[in-house]
Amino acid sequence: MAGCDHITMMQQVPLSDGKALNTVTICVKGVVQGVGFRPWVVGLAESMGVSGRVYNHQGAVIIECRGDTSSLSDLIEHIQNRPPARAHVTSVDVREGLDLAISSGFSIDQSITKKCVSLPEGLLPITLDFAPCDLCLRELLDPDDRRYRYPFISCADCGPRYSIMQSAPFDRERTSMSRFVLCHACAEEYGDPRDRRFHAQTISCHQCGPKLRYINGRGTRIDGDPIGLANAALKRGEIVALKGVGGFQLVVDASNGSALDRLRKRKNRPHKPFALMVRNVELAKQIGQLSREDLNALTSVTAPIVLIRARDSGKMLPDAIAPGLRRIGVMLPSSTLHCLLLGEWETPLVVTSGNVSGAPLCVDNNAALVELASIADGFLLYDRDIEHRLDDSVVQCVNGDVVPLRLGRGYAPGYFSLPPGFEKAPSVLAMGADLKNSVCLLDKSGVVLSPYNGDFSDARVIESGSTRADELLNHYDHHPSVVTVDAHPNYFSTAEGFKRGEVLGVEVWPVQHHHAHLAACLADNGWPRSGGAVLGVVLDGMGYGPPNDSTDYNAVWGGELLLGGYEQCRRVTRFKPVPLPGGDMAAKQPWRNALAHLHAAIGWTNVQADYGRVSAIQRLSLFPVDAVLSMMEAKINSPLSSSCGRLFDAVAFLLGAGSDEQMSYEGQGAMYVQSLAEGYIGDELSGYSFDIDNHSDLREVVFTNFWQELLCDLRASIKPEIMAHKFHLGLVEVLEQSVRQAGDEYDFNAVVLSGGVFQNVLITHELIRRLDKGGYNVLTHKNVPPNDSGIAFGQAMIAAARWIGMKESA
Amino acid sequence: MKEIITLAHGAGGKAMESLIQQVFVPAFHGVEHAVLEDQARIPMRLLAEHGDRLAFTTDSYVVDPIFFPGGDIGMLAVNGTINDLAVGGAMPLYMSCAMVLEEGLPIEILQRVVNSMVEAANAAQVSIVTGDTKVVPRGQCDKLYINTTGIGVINSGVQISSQRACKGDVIIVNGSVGDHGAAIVSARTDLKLEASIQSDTQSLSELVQIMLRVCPDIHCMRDATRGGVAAVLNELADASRCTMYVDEKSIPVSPDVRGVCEILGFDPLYLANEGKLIAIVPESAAELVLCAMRQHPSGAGSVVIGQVVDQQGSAVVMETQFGAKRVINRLVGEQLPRIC
Ligand SMILES: [Fe+3]
Ligand SMILES: [Mg+2]
Ligand SMILES: [Zn+2]
Ligand SMILES: [Zn+2]
Repeated sequence: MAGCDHITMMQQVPLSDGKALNTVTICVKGVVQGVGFRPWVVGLAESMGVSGRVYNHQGAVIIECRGDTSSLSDLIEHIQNRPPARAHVTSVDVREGLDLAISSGFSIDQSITKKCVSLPEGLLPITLDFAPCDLCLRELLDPDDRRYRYPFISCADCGPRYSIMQSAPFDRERTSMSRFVLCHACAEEYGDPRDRRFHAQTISCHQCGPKLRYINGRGTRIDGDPIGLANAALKRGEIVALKGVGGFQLVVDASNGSALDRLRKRKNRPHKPFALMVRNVELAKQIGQLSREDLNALTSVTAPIVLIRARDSGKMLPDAIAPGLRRIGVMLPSSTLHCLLLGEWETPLVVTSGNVSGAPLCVDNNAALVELASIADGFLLYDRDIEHRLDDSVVQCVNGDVVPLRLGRGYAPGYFSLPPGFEKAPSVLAMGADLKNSVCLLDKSGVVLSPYNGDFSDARVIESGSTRADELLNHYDHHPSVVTVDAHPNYFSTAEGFKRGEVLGVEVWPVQHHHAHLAACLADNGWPRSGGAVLGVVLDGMGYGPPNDSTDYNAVWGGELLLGGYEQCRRVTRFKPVPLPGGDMAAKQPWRNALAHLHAAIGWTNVQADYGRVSAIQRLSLFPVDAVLSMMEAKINSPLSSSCGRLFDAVAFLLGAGSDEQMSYEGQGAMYVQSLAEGYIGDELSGYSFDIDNHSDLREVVFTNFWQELLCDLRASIKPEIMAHKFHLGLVEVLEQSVRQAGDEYDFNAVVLSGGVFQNVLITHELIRRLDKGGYNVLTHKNVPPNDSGIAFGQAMIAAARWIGMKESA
Repeated sequence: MKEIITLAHGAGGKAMESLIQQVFVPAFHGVEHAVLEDQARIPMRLLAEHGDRLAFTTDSYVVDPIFFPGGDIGMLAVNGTINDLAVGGAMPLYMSCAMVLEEGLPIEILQRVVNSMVEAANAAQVSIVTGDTKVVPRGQCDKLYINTTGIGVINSGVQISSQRACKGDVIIVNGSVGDHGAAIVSARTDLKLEASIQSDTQSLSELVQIMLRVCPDIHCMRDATRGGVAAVLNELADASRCTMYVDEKSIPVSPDVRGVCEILGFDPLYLANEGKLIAIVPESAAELVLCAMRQHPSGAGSVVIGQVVDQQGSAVVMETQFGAKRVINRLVGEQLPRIC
């Protein structure tokens, strides 16, 4: 469970001495439902001679019991310190006495839902989906077991949770398992305190559980073993739509180049890398070098996609999986169904999101059969509904941390406890940003960050994001006192936030994009509200800057040093602004950034005169350069921007990124340059010279010398790997230098690294190393993505801090 | 030496009198109201012949450059106001014209603009019946600004309103979109384009009258000027509280305009037009209206671009070539990048 949780100390309850029997009511919060908590309490209490009852109460577990003093303390101690493996206890509250009389023995009682009792509880963790456990996997492959090859095997330790949950508490009747009535054998296991499926909510078997079926591309159901049929289709190079845990996935044989091409064509996804699923760790090791952290992440109960460095030697896989990239996303089976499907595969399968370009993941059978008909050749389906759409999570290991890049299955909705100083936080709803959107709820009991919603450029994604917000608001009965949005006036998420503010009758607070990045990283590290000023190095694609800044003749930020904290911050350094000719078009066509940067730094005529024979410059000259120079001159749709992402795009173009004019996915240029740099093996290099201009009160990182040096190297036909490496080193150097300079002038207690560019392992790793050496306290992302998926979290923290600040000064 | 506007031309004395006599009187000779009174006097009888409601609108025109491919500021000022009347279902009849002139403007330029206004007014059978001129010192305005105010009459039975879009209604545009915006922006930039893009400046008065003849029950109609088709659709979706779908494939955009948009990163849906209207008509009348529109030169390129799909919300969604469903929102301020 991701989160910066801490355990609330148990209230000291004075228990009367002696052997006399005492009665107590214990309230346990945390991840305590759907993890075998109640049956565990029963076993424990009975072994200690304690009698009573245990039940789920909304998101918590309540234990009312009677026993002698030492047994009761023992019981509480176990709950606090030694809960079941999948449980995560965040607070244990004990009070003396009972509300109702109890008889002898120990029982699991009827759960109490919101409908019975209204008791505001605030934000609590939700139990998330688990990959299959070892015991279940053993049964799955044991021909003598009654669940041999049963695709929906699960137990108190594993299986679907949030993805099938309709409402709290997590009991079968409030999940999409409710329609599957237990058979006799299952009912017996469910009721047997000695069975490992005693009160396991997702229990089922061949006889009573969900059923698989295989449907061909024409929508006709095919008789026979569905998994065998799906595998046969995959072996023929077909594309199979598989109903996964949190949504549909499209699957093809990763070693079949023509199948991959077909998938790319049908999905209209020319370059964006595909994730791979492998049967076991050994196969993963054949694909890439796994660090210890990689291995831990890969085999964790959340079974995320882990971005690993692919082996250079022995290209066992077609380049079409991740064109031009050295990092590849790999995961292990996320459900027993995946285990069965991958049973015989000695090569990886591509397992990618089951959606049509731009739309959210399909979750519903009928919708999938229609929407994915143009992509899939067959469908492997089952008759249990997915209640919550969850993309596969993506993580990456940097400096010993497992950093999430996308929070989905197994990670979200993620619960985080508040850092110190937020005890009087209001209820907040944060709407996030438009790309990689997620929404966030906050109140005095914690913060909940929603799963990844996708990009708000499509009406269907905006709608599903809005539904997601409603689901979470309803689940927690959360009534925001303030709604917070990105400061970008034309973000769809901003418009959604203002609509909600109006309906709720509460204020809507815009938050600057990079301030939100900074605050997200602060809270991710448990930074106290009174922690004092920090210096944020925020490197990003783009975010709307406050237009009232008089030193600012543009409103598009993306490479800044910010000084401040949760409540406020200001810029002390920025990347020298360069036009973005064509606005968003510049994010899609890297040649525009190359031209804009070279023209701003050196002048296009000079570039042509001195480097006209360089092939990258010749390639650039093939584009409508004159027209774009003239539009920048006339200041038409060419906002100035300090974006760091676009700097990467410019470098990517000159270093030969793709042969296409267009970038087809966000971050493509940056990933390409990182990949090149990671391919460099050799002696230590020194980086390109970036300089700092100290002339105005706002320092600027300037690029003239850097571009001159890069062009010289291009002219000398230096290998792109070397140039990419020198670019990374130079950038890190100038960042370190600008942190030092800020340090000469201002006091700050930590350096915070945030923004989408910190998905770049090389930059992150190297900058941490240098700043560490310089004695700085460096904070980086650990549980919340450094990219825009973390924006909502930062927005919520800023709103809470401002709210508390206002109340304090009032 | 060529004659230029001086501050004396606005002082109300002899110079002004001679400017009025030289430039304005020969041009703006209305019908029987040509007498130089302080106000135009219009017999009620003349108005009542055309319908039962007066339509009244005003607009100011500032454009750089004042002469552009396909038109000039004068033509724009007349057609713009005519169109604002016409899309309400009114027959445009009378117009005023007030000008703010920058000191130093060549009188010959003023004359060209005035001539062009007259030509546009005559073509639409509208009389310019009253006017005003002010001169400001150099640098306090850019060459010349024009305000026109128009009066028209709406025939009984016509009920065009921004609130009447209903589920099932069909959305029609009378030709390619974005021409004016693209013409202006390419006149301001040296885009090294092969062909010059012409502004679509034109009167929509006749076209609207033809449409009303075949379908008096047009639900909504707007001319898609500043903010383009996107702004109009959003205004109508908001006012009618409905959801509209438009189909990217069916929206007419000339190849040259598309080319300019590709270079500049503009979306033709957001570019200004000066002779394009959006009509929302009952589905049953759509064919008839389209046929009638196509008979007229101003409507030759008329097509259906979308439909009202839901009587709730207020959204405009465009289905793109690739099957994406893009939300066409109303822009706040200028178009700033969104991609991170
Ligand atoms: Fe960002
Ligand atoms: Mg107007
Ligand atoms: Zn298990
Ligand atoms: Zn069973």
